[in-house]
Amino acid sequence: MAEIVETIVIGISIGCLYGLIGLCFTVIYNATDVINFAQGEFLMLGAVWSWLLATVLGISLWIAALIIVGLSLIAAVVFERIVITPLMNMNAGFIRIAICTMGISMIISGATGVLTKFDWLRADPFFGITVWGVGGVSIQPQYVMVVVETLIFLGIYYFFSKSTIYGIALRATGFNKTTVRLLGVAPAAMVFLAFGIAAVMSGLGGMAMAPVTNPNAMMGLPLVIKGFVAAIVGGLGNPYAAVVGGIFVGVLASLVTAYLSSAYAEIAVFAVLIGFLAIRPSGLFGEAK
Amino acid sequence: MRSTKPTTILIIVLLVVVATLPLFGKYVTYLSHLIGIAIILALGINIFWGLCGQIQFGAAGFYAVGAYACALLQAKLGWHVAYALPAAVLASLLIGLVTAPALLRLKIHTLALGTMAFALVVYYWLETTASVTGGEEGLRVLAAYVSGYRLGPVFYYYLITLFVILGFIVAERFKRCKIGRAWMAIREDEGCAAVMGINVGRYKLLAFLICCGYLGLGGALFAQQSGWITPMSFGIFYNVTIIFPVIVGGLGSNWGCILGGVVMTLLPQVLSGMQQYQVLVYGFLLAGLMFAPKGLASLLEEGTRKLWRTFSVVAHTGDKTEDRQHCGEN
Repeated sequence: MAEIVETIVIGISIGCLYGLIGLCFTVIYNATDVINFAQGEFLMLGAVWSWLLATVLGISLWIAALIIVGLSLIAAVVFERIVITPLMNMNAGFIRIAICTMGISMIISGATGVLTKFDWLRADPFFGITVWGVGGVSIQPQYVMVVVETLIFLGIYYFFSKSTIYGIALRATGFNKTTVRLLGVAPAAMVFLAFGIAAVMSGLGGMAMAPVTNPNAMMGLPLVIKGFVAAIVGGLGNPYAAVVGGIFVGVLASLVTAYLSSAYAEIAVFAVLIGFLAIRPSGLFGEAK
Repeated sequence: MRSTKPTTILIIVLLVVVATLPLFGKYVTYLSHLIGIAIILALGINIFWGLCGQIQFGAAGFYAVGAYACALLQAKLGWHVAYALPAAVLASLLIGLVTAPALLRLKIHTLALGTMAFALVVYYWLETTASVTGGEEGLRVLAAYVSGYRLGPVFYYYLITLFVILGFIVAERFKRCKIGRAWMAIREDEGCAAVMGINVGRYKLLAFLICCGYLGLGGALFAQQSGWITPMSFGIFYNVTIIFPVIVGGLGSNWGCILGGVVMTLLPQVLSGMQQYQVLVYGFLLAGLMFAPKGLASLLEEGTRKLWRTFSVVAHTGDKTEDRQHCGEN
């Protein structure tokens, strides 16, 4: 029994990570109609920076987190100014922007790989090697941290997008840029805001996951695919749906890994996804667009 | 007459080079195999993606089906390659037919993810079912004999070249007939195409199946020429790089596929000394080309046209050069 609970907890935790990427997809998609395949690289960067700051340089947790927020924002500005806005100004279609972000993703992971020699970096856990025991079930605090972080981000974003004027403007930008401009919103600022939010969430998510899975320069692409799966299973454009979809995928993968093998977990996830797409392409909570 | 001359010369030179390539040694022959296969794959993807406008991120899956079908039919059932090769294409078509109802309902994002999911299922299945596919170790493809004579790299070179030429002609034919125009109408606007009386579902299915056929053929040829296949050749990273020739050459252009196939096969060889920069270079190429969306073929075409114009202006109307160039700049 304890084993199943542990497996499910790990599944939820990894699922939250997928959900976090799905949430980032949603934030950007809602504001710009862009699918950002480079999102996984922001997570990877967060993890690598966390390794560099906390493990190599020995900076304390909170200061490292602040630095990572700053670096993620800088990365988002550069990415959005150099790549996304020029492409959107060229009236590039969905596919072109998506493939371009894929290219950017390869540039980021390639450059990081050259700097880190494509090694697996060993990040120290933030809470030592303590394990929490609850009625025979042992849980690593690291896993709980990922879940709590994702839920906090989800809560903040949900409140922000529904109840603040900036959040409403952000979502309105995704519907119609021209109208939004007439209403006194600067679409360029909203696009930047969306990418900034997504980058900070990914950066901190990467920081939380660094001790769980040792960071590697090439880990962005598999993560981004899982995040995409989470967003589609949940329903693209819906923030909590992405997280629910992510948890669903994560628990499924972790159960199959525990009882069969990790390769079967991948098969199960993608087979379920294909089934899902065949039956309900708009996702669990999505409306057909 | 003047405008046809350079292309005629170019085609003759190209034919001579293609016909004599195996004389340049084993390495050149091997590279030519890879180029030929890349072109076949690119032509297939181009039909579904470039002409019909549907994203295909699952190409590696159908490619793997072709390769493994060809290898398994020979290894397990003892079929001759002459039967295994067409059977592999049929297998790929069959898998295409089975997955089509689920995949072709999807649009843009979901289609991208759905096709990619298919390829990943195939990849992980190949890795896990070791009893059939040999798992991560891979599978040996037996050498084929015709009346005691072993079919070697030179034979496969000409076979692949033959298929490239046939594939190119078929793709060009498709592009220029009613079916190709229907595909392009679907690419531009699906609703509009349907209103014009085009059966969108049927034409999409046709494009998808033709694409699967090309990919299966490419896979079977790959298995035959390499002699050993592993799931690694069809993995998650390959899923992205397989579409490179089409993107580099320019979506929708068959000549672009040839150019892309050549460039993207030779590039890793050029970069082989600095393996660690490969991802970086690919990334720059992919991202950079999205700012020139018609690909390398159109850039080259534009460049040569400009060069040719300047050249002919200089040659024929010496004193008017300045005027003409000035006009050109405007």
